Amino acid sequence: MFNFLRKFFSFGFSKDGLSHWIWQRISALLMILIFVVIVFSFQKLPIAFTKDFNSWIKTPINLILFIIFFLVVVHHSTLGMLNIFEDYVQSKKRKKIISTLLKMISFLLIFISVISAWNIYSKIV
Amino acid sequence: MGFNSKKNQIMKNKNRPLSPHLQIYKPQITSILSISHRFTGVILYLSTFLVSLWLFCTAFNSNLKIILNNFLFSHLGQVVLFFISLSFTYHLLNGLRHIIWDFGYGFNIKNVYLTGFVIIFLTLTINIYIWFF
Ligand code: HEM
Repeated sequence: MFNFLRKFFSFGFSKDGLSHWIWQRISALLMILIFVVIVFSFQKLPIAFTKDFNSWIKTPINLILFIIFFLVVVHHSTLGMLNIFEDYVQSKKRKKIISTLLKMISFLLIFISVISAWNIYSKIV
Repeated sequence: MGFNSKKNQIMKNKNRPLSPHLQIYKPQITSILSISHRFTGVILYLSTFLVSLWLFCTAFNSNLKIILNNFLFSHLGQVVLFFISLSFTYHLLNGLRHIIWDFGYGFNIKNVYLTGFVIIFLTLTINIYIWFF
């Protein structure tokens, strides 16, 4: 049980294939859920997307929703990309380098996006 | 060692092409849809770069923000966005199909074809509706 939990809370990034598989699906379902909520809340602002996004994200609940969505998207797609490299890259060493690089890029993506979203949220206009 | 020796035969077998051998594998709707899921997944991962860049420009640099928005509303930008939304729709619908398969439903060949066509139809309809109406 403890072992299972440890694998589960690696969020799919351990060497364990089952937890990778499960998290790919959990994140997929979560995305569908959040995506539907976001689309519905967007429907209330049907003018110009670029302006509306700024006002949309100024509501705290929307900011939180957006950040969670982005986190889940990057989590899901990083697991997916790791899976693809697992399939096509033969050399173990190269695989290790690529997967480390990929995780760093994904982390950077999250970092930039969250900081930016927070900045738009807290900007007084 | 002779050309047709036993060792040579075994060596030959070891070098056999791995399946599916793409040059001779007959493209079918099933295989095309399968690789499309992977392909759209990669496109979507790349588009998170664009989202990140857009957020960054919107937050920190109004000059870059204007340039980027002008690009996104140009013809080329709209084509890029169209393909991203096409990829997203397809990946979402096919992802749902994946998850339904994982619960053990829809595995017989008739249903695989049927849901495959339904997904193509829905993807096209949704995107034509979003972009042209
Ligand atoms: C919102 C709905 C989405 C659903 C339901 C979904 C579903 C799935 C599923 C079930 C898989 C596993 C396929 C397999 O095991 O062969 C998968 C793989 C993948 N997804 Fe998603 N996904 C969604 C959105 C996204 C987004 C937004 C991205 C990128 C930003 C993405 C990127 C990927 C990648 C790169 C893979 C790996 C492809 C592969 O291994 O062949 N997905 N997706």
